[in-house]
Amino acid sequence: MIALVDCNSFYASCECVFNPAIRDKPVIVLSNNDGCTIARSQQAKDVGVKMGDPAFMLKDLIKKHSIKVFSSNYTLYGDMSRRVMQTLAGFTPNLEVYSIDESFLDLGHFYKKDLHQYAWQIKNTVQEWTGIPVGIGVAKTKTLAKIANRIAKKSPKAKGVLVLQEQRHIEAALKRTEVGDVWGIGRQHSKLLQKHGITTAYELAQQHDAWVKKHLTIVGLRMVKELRGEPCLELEEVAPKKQNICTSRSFGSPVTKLQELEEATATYASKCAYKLRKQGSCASAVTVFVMTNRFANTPQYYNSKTIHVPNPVNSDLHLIQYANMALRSIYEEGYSYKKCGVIVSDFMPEDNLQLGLFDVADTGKHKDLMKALDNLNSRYGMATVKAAAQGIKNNWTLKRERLSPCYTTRLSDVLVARL
Amino acid sequence: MLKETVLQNRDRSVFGKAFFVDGHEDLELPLFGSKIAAGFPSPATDYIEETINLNRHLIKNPASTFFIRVMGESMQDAYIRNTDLLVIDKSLKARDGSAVVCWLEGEFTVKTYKPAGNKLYLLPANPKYKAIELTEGMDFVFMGVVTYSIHDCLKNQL
Repeated sequence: MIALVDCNSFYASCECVFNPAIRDKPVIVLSNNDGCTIARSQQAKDVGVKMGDPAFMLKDLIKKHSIKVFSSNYTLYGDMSRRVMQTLAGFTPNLEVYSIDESFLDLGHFYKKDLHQYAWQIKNTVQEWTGIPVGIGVAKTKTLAKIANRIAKKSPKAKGVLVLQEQRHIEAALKRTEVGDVWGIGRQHSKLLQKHGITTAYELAQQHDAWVKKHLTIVGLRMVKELRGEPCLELEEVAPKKQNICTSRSFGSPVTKLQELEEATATYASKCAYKLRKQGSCASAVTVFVMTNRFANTPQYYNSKTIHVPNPVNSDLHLIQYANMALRSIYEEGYSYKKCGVIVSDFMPEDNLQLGLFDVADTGKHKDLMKALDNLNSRYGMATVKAAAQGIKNNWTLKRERLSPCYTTRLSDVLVARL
Repeated sequence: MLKETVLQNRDRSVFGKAFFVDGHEDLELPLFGSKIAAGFPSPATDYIEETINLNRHLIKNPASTFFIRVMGESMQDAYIRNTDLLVIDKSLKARDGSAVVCWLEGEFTVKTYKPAGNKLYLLPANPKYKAIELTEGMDFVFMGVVTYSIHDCLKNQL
């Protein structure tokens, strides 16, 4: 059996743990740059805030219901996620963290346990230890666990926990799940299935293998088999290394000058370089993209440029140099840029690099320099020491006007109690 | 810190992202040994024998442990004094006599947990302050049991 545990309105719940005054008020969290709604407490859903609603369109609603608004504080959410996952890890020999707020637990070895009681124990422990409420779905396969989890959160009777063991319960659950809500069925496939008169997960599970394979490919077939209770998706205990890394952000206010774009690009290139070193890879391809604001009534421009470098690199200085070469080749004056980003790809393990015959870059020196840089920055905080190309006073950084303190990771930000 | 990776099925198709948790930062202090040896001085005293990791000693359950700073005098007889940094564990149950952090009527506070008969009290540790009886309908949230109080002796010299 497999359990899917996911946190209810995770980001909003994190904010409430350290701020009990808002625990039963409508709370929303905004995306990077205080743009759109990315998390809503139940109360915020109840007063009609939708996922993705831009903040500026919510002004009246925020006033009317005194909604509490937060900028996204990923430092806090990341640390709270660690706590939830650490707690869950104590309940299973195999834990697969699937995203910042959900993970699969392999419960296969617990034959003699009452799974319903065990799931409640998991839910209560996470709530007690971290303050975060979770929903739990337990079933024979990942795809069924997803369905169980969805119903657990929707049905008032389940109160957030649902175990699907008996055939008639599984059937009932499949019948009340729309086909578009099945894990891995996208909007396109959903439309196609509707056209063929398949509207529920139950009807989809009844289809012949050949038909499913033809219309939904092999991945779809495996998922349909999972609906029938045949596990096809293993718990990935060891995830493969990433094959490309992207770092990109929107700017707080429109950027027009090349120098500001260069600083932003250098900053993202440096972040990519750091992630590369962390996983022990070097990259041979560096892509830079720039874009204007699609929603603004100004001239539009999107462009990107990929440079293939003579030998794979993972040093900040190399990547910044290449990224800015790429940027300068696509920069056009006269546009207001909203976003730029750096993607590195075409990886090689750093310990078996082929050195070019005409390689003049002093790889060894760079390696030592980067090691020193990483040590300094891990001790004194991100970007304490950085390349001058990244700039000092970054005017292009994010708007984060409603950021909560980093209660759990910064000593100066911990809660204060009055004695 | 969360590390992010892309998850792939055996046929290389991607089915999601995974985030892996890195361990929490270690704070290590060197512990020097010095044995008084008769005869030759031991060269070993110049070396660090092991390190003390305060996290390991002060944090039993990293998932449920938080820090909180306190202001005020109401707990001074329990050795919880103005500006101290408290280590609190949410996973522990409050017992008779535990110092607890809670949210009470609109602010965080620290008091001694005291069940008496069928009543519950939050007691100060300073004769100048009054006991508080916990009753139905109060704005109350239990935040954790205080496990350690870290007192800055340099800043608070008498």
